[in-house]
Amino acid sequence: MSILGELGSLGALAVFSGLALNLLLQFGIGISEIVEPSDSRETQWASLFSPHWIILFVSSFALWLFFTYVLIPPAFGFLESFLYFPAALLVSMVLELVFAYFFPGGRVTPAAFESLVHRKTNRGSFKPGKLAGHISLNAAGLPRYSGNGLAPAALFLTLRLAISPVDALVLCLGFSLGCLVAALILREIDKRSSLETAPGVLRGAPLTIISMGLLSLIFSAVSAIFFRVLGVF
Amino acid sequence: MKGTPIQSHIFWGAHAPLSTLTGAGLMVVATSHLAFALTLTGALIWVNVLTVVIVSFGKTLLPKKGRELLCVFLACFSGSLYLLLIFFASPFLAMEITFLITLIPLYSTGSGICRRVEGLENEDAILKAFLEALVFGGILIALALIREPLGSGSLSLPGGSQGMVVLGVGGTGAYFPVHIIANASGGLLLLGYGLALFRRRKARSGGEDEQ
Repeated sequence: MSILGELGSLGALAVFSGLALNLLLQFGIGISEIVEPSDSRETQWASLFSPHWIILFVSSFALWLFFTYVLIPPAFGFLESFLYFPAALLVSMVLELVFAYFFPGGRVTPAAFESLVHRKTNRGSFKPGKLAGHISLNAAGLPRYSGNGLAPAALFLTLRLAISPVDALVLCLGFSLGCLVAALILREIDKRSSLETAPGVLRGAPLTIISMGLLSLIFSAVSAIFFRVLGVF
Repeated sequence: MKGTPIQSHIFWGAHAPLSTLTGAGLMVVATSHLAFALTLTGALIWVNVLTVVIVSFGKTLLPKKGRELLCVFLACFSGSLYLLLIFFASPFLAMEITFLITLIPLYSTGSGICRRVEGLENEDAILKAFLEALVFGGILIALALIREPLGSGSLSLPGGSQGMVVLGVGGTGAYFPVHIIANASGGLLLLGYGLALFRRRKARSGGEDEQ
């Protein structure tokens, strides 16, 4: 019975992870930074090989461990939430530099893995200043993917919902996969809006945001049905 | 050193909130209640101005390398100070808007204000930071004034023992609030159409030439 209970709670968490997509769409945080400009030479599935989903997953899980086990909870009280953004930024930036060092092409492809295993690439020493030159920056001069709000948002939700490392692992994984699916959907919408006959003023960001609103509505309804079926919350 | 004049228009320019959409998430979640929008406008002005004041006056002391990172820490510190002030004034309101206020430093640093005011005189930099926050706050209040009465049939103001004072708009008559507008989905839809309208108006007023 206890095993079934555990499986039930894990199932509920997995469903919530799917909900993360809805939350992500609701918040609209950082998604514009994630959705790269459409490139006709690349297929939409090229996003799957982007390391940013792995960075998001690793950084949110590592930060969950830090905020749960290392930082003493009453130390900062309710002001602790203001540490999420700088902490997430630092961890993601370091991970981004590590990925730039090991995968200079910017994609975690089988070929890049093969090159890594057989040490075909002459990488030299780990110099953050030099590696930073290969990372794209946003308007604030911060790394494009670390400087958005996805990692702090994932951390905020995970810290409030996960009570064990397994819960945290499932939530972080679900959040990263949710982001990936959201990015794929938004890229497709963006691509379609340039092909279909849409009014000029609606093309691009307005149409994407309107589509996000409609998708958010659908996911809200679907997740409510799932929760009712599972009997949680 | 003579400062560079402010080139980009604060509402129609290339760095205007509706052009960059850095705070789209904040616009959606903060405009469900007018009380939240008003409190967050104060937070925006506080965080933007305080961060720029520290960066401008500490120009010679702050390191050039990694200044952007320092801006993140400064913005978060300013945000936590504001939350502390709100907590002293109204603990209930502070509890309700903690997550929303954590998004303010995210918007402030994401808009690149620290980077853009680097070449300006201190007074110009502070004025620019204040005006940018005021414009974004104005958009938040305008959206909240549409969403709350239509979506919930009420209008809330910060204050009171519960943190918010709710005023009925529709009365007890046959008024049916359109709940979807109060939800995040409705916020996104409204923002999308609002953005289209903004672009149309901007194109007509020749705002694009400025970019």
